[in-house]
Amino acid sequence: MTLGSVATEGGFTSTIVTVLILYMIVLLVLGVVGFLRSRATEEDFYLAGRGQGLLVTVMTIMATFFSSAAILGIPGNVYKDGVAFTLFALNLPVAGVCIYVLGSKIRRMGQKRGFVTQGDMIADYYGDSAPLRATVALAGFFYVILYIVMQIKAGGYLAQVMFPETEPLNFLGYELETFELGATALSLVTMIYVLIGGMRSVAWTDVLQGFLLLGGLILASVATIAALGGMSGFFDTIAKLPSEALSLPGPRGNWNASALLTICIFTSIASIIQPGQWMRLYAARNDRTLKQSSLVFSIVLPSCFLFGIMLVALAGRALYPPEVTAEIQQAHEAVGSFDQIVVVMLKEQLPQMLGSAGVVLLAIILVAILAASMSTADSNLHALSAVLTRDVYDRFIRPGAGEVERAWVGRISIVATTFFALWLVHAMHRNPDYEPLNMIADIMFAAIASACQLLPATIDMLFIRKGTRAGLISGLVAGLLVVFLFTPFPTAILDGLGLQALADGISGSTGLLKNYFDIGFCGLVVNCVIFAVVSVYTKPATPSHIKAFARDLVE
Amino acid sequence: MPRVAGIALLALKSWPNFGLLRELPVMLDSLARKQKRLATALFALMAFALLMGPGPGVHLVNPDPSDPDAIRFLFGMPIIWVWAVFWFMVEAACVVTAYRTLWKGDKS
Repeated sequence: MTLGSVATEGGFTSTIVTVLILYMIVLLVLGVVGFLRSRATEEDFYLAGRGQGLLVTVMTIMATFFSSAAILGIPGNVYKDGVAFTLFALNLPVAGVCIYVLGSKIRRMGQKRGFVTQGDMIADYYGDSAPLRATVALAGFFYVILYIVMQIKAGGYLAQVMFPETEPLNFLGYELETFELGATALSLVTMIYVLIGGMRSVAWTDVLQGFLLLGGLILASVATIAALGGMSGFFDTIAKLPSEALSLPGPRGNWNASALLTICIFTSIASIIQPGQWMRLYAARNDRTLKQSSLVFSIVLPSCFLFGIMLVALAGRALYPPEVTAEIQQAHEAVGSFDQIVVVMLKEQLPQMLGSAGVVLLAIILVAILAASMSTADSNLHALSAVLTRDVYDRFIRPGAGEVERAWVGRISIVATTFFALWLVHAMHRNPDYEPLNMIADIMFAAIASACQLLPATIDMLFIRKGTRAGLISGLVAGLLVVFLFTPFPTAILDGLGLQALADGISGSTGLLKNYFDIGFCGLVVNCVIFAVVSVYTKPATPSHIKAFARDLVE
Repeated sequence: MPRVAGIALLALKSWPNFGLLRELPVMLDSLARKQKRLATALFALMAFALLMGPGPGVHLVNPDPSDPDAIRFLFGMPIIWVWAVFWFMVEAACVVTAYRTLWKGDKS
């Protein structure tokens, strides 16, 4: 039995359609209200006038942080690799601390000096230049585009579960399957409300989506435990887990302590300094807002992970054990792909145990998963539009462009990015031989590794202030190159060029390192060394400039 | 104005706890040192929680898959999960303490 053939109860389709329509209407209304309350300035479109209070700030930060990876990708990894991956949740309090410790300084500088993007602040400290803006924009671009791809893909998976019997649709000669229809619908709705209302709409919809996804995480766990007959039934199910799924490094041997430790430290920090979150830090009303957000984030999110969604995945591992054939681990036939374990668990268990109430609950949780994807996709689309407008268009294409023109360029870049990401997802889906970065968590780690390369610049600007522009650019380029080596693409390129031996060497050494360390950490080591060495031999900013920057950070 | 200042000075001099005012810089300095010590301690505890939780410390409880007698469950849950929950509590305690004592609402 495959996922598509999982039986749909009579009322399921109509219930899910009703909940989905209600949800979409509320999103679009929030988009329009955001538009009506906005002012026609760039700062308002990108930062909602820098006046976001506690509720909006904490929910938008959490919703941006918790993407489809939270409800599909991370449980998918727990399902695949067992209990070892639950330790991943320990990265969240570290990220929470960064919201205040890094965020309060970033917010203060943003407010004082009118920064909108990450590139604005970095360029202000190190001295503006085309190569600097371009490399910072590139790191942001890699992160954002991968993250958007990940969310659109999740939209496709959800459509497969929600509407398994939908006939393919013929559009301009192309036959669109359910997966592609779902992916397209998610990206278009998200694009529309981001286009309409900018940051204000994105943040307001994030509040709704944040509540939905936090509720969904806990509800999924409660529903699963109830469906298994209470805690004793749940413990009995968990007790069936095989011994290799109950210890490190897991059945595939790739979650050892050093890998998990580096992931917990660097993934968390990188997730807070990625372009979308950075702009959310600028948009907070004051330090107090960030302080409170930090506390809520540190307590609520790990709880939702550890006591919520991870329990569902563990039970799923016991009920639908993955199949191991010729040393390859595959998801159980009833599950289809690892990333779908949570939806399959809920869809199989809830209606059976709770009847029509289970169907309604299932519909709400599926919409919560959709909300998780959309809330991250919208934040990243919005952030990328700011990066492309302020760091690329305004610097390289038309430096004298007015505010209205830049706002339009921002909107056009949102449309272009949406269609580019959608095209990537369709191309990946249509190619049956496509294997690399197929799991949502793999895409997530590659994306975060790119954002992680901005960490040396962030720490240097905020605390150390010894680095130089040349050091930053060379370190960042080297770090991004190292991260790129860890993706499957260089091997594919070298294979295509006939350089088989070199391709094997690279994939062998990166494979070995990946078993012990986070990808972002590997790039970061090279990045930091080059940043430090080049900074020693190149000219720093003037002492008065550094002093003024340091003063504005604390006052 | 000199008259008002003179009265204020007289009031301060006659205030029984005026000595405290003179000691204010010393007290602030001592408070800053205490906060610095607390910040260092919390940072060390957070780092320790990371080393023990997802880091090498996990080998203290990690069951050997080939050993049939290894302890795999505690309170009905996998021991690694229980370990993760325990270190999450430690991390959360660090954040709450920092929130209540170190982090200022308006300035770092």
